[in-house]
Amino acid sequence: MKTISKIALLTAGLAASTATWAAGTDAGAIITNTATATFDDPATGNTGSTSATAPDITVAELINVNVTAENTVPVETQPGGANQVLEFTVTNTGNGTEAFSLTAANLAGDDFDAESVTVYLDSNNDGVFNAGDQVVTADLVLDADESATVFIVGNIPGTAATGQQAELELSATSATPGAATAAPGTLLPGQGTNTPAGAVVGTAVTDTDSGTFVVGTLITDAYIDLDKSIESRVDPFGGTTDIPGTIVTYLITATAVNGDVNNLVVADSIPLSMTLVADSVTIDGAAKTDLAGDDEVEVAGSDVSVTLGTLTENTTVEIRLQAEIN
Amino acid sequence: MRLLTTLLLLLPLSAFATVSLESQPYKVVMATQDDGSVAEEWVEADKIAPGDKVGYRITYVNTGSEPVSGVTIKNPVPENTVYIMNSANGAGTSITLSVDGSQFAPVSELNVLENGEIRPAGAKDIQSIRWIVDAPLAPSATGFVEFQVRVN
Repeated sequence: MKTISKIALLTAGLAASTATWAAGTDAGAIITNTATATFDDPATGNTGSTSATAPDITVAELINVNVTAENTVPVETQPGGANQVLEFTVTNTGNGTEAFSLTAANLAGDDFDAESVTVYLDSNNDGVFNAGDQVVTADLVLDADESATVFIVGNIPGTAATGQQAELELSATSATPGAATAAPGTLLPGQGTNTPAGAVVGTAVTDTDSGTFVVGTLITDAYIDLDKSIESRVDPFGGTTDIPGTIVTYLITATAVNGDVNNLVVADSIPLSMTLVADSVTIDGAAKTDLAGDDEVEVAGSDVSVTLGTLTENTTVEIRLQAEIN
Repeated sequence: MRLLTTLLLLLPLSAFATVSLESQPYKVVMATQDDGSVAEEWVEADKIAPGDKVGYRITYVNTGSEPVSGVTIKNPVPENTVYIMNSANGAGTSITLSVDGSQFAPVSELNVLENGEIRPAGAKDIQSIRWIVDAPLAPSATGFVEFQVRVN
């Protein structure tokens, strides 16, 4: 038994066909089928030939849509957060141009609802929600296989507590009359991209997906936690009473909270009843002079100014100065 | 010229060919029968959409007065469709397939060269179907062959 291997060069054909595979044959495409018969013609002794073409089939529009949430983990937000964003991709998985109505909704069963929920289209196609994006007020029209980025934008109530979640859903539904309520496979005559063939309701004439906001800790601007205390008193007799001649050591601590702080200047005014001890200011234990310009410390009369510049988050600077009770 | 065309149409078909073909498309659906079972049915070919199955039935008849031998029917797989494996049938015929439209063989013997690799042919590779009617076709005798495709 001899095996015959038939080989054809299909590389080019296969590569070309993949481009249109996803959404399928375009709505309105014509499928033509022709059969040919050959036979030994008894009248002439030659090979006869005849052919028959089946009635053409016009491919109907198949309506399908897919909604996919792009935030695979909850989006962290904060109480009172405005214009918080969930991102979705809406894809026309049918084979013809189709309009889809988009709606956003708070889902039940979670901790709180977002407020002022609005659907935006990524109008400027930059993949992020910003000023160029417009509120969706009409049906979203997509060609076969075409996708659009859509945002659900909402405000987080000020009462939302850390750890609470809100789940919101985006749904896209074919706007073709009758499609939303029809069973898969239903023919909608006179509808669709190619009206003579009609439109066929696919298995996903509507689709939804949801994203989630989660409330993190309240985020505020960076600030300095400043504290001033009396570290020690030494009176002229070696005691700790507040009498003229007593030297008081003050401790000022500055801590950067919630981020780095730039251009930090700590100022302190010595009370009228006291006099700063010359060159007594230290920063983290390092002695500084009262002169201006040679280091961080500058003294003008009773005003002490300490220029610290940048203080990184969660670091603390200790400033000590001594004053004598007049 | 119009007159000539009319006259040609009025002549008996056998004057041109002793075998005549007719091809008809159907939509292939799975339908629940009266007894509750589900069976394949061929229905009117409307609302054909991507993913649907289409069946073609090609009927042949000997319109002449003498037996005809060597009846061979070829049907290229239509554009925008993929042949459904093992769907070709036809009583009293020998069926072979082709991946290039000219050479025909049983599917198990068909290979394609893709990206430098030879691999067995799949449904998407089938370009044409051929039926050879085994016995001479008697005058007025008729038969049919069928195959199915899926719309891309």
